[in-house]
Amino acid sequence: MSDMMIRMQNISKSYDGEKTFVIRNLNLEIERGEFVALLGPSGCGKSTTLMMLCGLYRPTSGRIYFGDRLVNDVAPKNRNIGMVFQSYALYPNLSVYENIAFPLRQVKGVDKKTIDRKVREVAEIVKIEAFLERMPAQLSGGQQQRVAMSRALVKKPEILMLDEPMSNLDARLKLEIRDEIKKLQGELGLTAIIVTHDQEEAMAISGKIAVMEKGVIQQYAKPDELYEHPKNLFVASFIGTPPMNFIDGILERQGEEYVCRTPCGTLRIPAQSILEQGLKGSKVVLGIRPHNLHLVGGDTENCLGLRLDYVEHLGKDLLLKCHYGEEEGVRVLSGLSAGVHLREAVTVQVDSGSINVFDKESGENVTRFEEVTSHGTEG
Amino acid sequence: MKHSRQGKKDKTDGDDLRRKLFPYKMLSPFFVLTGIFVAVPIILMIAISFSSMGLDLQWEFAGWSNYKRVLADSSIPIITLRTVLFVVICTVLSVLGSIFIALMTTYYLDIAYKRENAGLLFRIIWLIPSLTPSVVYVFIWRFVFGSNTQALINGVLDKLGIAPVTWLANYPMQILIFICCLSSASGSVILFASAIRQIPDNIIQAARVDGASNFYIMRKIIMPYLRWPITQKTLWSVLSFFCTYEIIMLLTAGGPGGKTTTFAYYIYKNAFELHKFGLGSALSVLLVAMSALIGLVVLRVTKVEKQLYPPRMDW
Repeated sequence: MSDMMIRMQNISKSYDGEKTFVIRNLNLEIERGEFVALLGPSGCGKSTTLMMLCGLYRPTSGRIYFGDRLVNDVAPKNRNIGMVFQSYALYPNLSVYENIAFPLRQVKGVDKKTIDRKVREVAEIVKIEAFLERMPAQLSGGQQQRVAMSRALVKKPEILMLDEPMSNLDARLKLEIRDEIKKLQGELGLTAIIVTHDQEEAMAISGKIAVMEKGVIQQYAKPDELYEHPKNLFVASFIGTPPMNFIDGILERQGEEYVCRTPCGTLRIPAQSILEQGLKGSKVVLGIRPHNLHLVGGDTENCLGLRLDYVEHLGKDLLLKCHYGEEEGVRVLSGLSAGVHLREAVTVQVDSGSINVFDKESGENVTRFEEVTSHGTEG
Repeated sequence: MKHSRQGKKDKTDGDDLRRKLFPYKMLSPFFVLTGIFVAVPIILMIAISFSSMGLDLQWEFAGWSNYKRVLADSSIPIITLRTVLFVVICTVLSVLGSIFIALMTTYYLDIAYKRENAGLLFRIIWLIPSLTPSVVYVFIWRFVFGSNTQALINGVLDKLGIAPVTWLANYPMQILIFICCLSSASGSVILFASAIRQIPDNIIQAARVDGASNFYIMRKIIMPYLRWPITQKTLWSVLSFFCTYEIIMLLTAGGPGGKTTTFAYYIYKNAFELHKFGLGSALSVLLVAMSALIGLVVLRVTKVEKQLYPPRMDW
């Protein structure tokens, strides 16, 4: 495909002479104008991946293409990228103006007038015209973040790389900056890659997410697909707040349906919604989102019996923390808590068709998915 | 603290006083030690400078006679000028030298080219001169610059068929400055290397993504981070080069013809070779005044007060 902006082919990275690999056989394709998040827990290799894309680290093996150009040996400055670091990495001894002008001063033959015009232009877009003469230490975290953004954008790069750009900001500012980054990316038509460990941030800002663990991309898909149909237990447990519930069960075929026995109840799953070839044994893990569980009065079809521990107020909804067996917790999202009492039994019904079945042994999702319908996640 | 003692208002005054005294209490070990080892010797030195103390160690008041003798001493102006030149040249060379070495090993080897082992190895080797006792250190150099053909350089020259050079007789000051600078720059590379190491990786990475060359990063990003260690090192060098005498004593004994006699060595010679303790003390008082003056100039020039921040602490 010609409109691929970035292609990473079989990328591996080792820091210790190929004894251990931080990244193993990574393949990733990013289209022009796409906003992609590299998401994963710390140490999963997401920052290393970004560092290889920006050229500060060299891959141990594999190829990286920007468009049709092989960039393995291209220095960062020649990759036409802008980068925002977690700590912003502003030059402390230079004013905001000089910080933004810094990339332009590295280009030969750019006269002062052009530099001045470009600096003021980008400062206006990012709304920091008022602070140009200040020193970085005199700015708030949000303002420093904006300076870092303008420095990344001043050379009009094709690709914007963001390494945990919002993890030093408070919750409210995060939302504001997140919207602005998204808006800027769309307006300027940039291809953007963001590294983050915050799944909520990744879901909100990006059109596609690569969930990484132990140097391997576990799933690379649109946010709603990741949410609805996680490919394996790791992705399922990583995506979504409150997190997905996992209940161990034994699966048994009975004619046109599967019967799944769990410690807290028996669930019936239509036979056609399970990929039989994915099952290694009868042991499975059921993944059910808290909002797919509903409090019901009596024992009806597809119900689980739980014991309520405590109730957490989330604003609009209540989060009921329940358990079954010894300590196994289950979270239920509910609009109301009428008729339930702490430390007493509750019955919850499971939305049919909302259950993700994972093979216990391989951790892979064995649920057959309908045609994935994505709505409005692309900018 | 005050509020926890409700109903005992008469005690608050005492508490206030105790709080004000608290920092001084904490500093008392410092006051005691500097008192014994710094203040008392200075007072004794000043007292001795007004006496005619000799080998008999008798303190006999002699008024301003020692100072008058110093003023009348025709060799003092030239020694003073030589000392100032020696101090300035050594300070400049050793500060620049150690910054250069630190940048080369820590920035270029460690950070830019990721050859951390090579950088570390070099820094360890480079540390040897400052770890060697000065007597051993100077005798090694006397062997290197010796005048006969058994010495290192002349031996090599001899093998090459070149006539030996009397290095220490011909270039005493140059060799002295070289040796002093090397030993001083040796120790302080650590200071600059650790300052460079403290620069966040991200800043240098950002500069590289922004397209800055290694030289530009060094000049615009790293050098500003070295301001404080430069101030520290400069001040320390000035003060220690003013007092350097043992290297001179062991290398040239102030010669030939007094060409390497600095103020500190002149004091040593008068006080401990000629046993004129009174005169030596008077000279010492002048040296202290001189180095204090130049130290203040250094503080002024480097604007040290702008680099210091008051501690942020409430208690």
